[in-house]
Amino acid sequence: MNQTNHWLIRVYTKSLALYPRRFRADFADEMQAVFNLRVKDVAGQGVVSLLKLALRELIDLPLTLLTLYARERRMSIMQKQLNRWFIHEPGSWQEVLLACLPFLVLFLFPGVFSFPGVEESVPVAIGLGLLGLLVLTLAVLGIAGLLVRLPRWALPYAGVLITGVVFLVLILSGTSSLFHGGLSAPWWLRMLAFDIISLGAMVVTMILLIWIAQKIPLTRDFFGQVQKDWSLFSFAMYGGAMVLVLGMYEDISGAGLYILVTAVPLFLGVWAYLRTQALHWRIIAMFLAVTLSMGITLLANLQLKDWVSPVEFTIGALDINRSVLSILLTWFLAVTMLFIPMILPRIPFSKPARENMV
Amino acid sequence: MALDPQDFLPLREPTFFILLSLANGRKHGYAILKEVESLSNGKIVLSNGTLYGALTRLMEQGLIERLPDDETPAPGLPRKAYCLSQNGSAVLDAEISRLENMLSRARLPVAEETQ
Repeated sequence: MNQTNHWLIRVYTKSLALYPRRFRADFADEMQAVFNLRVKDVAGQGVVSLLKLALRELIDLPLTLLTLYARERRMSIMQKQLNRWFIHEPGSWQEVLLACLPFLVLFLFPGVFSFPGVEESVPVAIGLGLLGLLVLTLAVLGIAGLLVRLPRWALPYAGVLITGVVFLVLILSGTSSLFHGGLSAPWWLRMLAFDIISLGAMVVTMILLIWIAQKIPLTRDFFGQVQKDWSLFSFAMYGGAMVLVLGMYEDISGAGLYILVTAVPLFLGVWAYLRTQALHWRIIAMFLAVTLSMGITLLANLQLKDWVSPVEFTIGALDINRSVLSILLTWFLAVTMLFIPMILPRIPFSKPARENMV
Repeated sequence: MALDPQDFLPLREPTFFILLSLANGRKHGYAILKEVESLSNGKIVLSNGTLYGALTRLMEQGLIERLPDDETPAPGLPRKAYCLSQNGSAVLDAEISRLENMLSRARLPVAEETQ
């Protein structure tokens, strides 16, 4: 082999250092061996052939490097997302705290203000200002969560938003008032019908959101992960379940202590979801947390509420009136919301486009 | 996992020839280069960078597989070889069918004209 060949091979060896590290570790030896063989092939054909070989490598190099580095970057981002979502690493205390924040804020505020005497002693303007500040904090954290592509801690925020919007639409469209007095059917039938309609609205909204998620770059990764681990969407809806639980205290006065105690199992549910590896235990933890918090709500209703509606019928030892039935139906709605995402991987959403280029 | 071959179509010419070169068995990088050149009548001469960039991508897509180290390679040849996976064969078949279909459609008006 003459000097030119040696020189060419040396330059090629040096140029291999330009490739991404992982790629180099996998292929540099092979590429070197193949290049040596190619040089050997054309060595007898003169300098022009050698030059053509070198030029071909040189011309292709920028595009090849660009493609490989872009792929390397994409893989590294994907790896980070996988570690964060799919492998379901136990969450850090910061992640648990951030995920618990909406629960803390939403329960602490009405909880403290519902203690006898507190509401009267705080001026309305201060109370409203505080409420506005807390809602703003939640909104900022929710938007920050979306901007960093919906990590796990941001999911309950999304659930609070989804549930809030669905119920707001049901109220503003008059559906709620229609079923709570506008129809002549028996009260329990209207309540049941409204619950079923709310559930349907939640399912449609969730499917719609997932469909939208695959279209928007910021949420596309989340869509991919939900296809693999549907419990992520359950965790989001767990945030919504919290809103439903809190809504049960709407017309009970002096329930401050009950409200604060109700938040405890919900915090534990967040903690258990983020710290547990097995999918079924994560779902069971959230189910138990919602059930327990609803149990405390039921107890508060039985203890504190002025019974405006008489006992309508009895199931076992439980006297059923409107409030009790409302809690039971809301519990059903809340736990169903946790299980609805099970159907998401079975819905034939369009597949993301694959790259197809050399 | 079985993939839908249609998701990968149409293949670009170099990709098609790389898969085609592996259709009749495992090959090292150097043999793939030679086969691609021969199959394309010398029209496609891949650079090393392009070849290995394409091989990485095809492995990621599950269309080809890298075989374990060849214990007794021919002198100077790399120890690694590549072969088509089941998905790769399916994609190659689908692309060949697509090309055949295109050709038959293209020939139809010509045949009608000559009759």
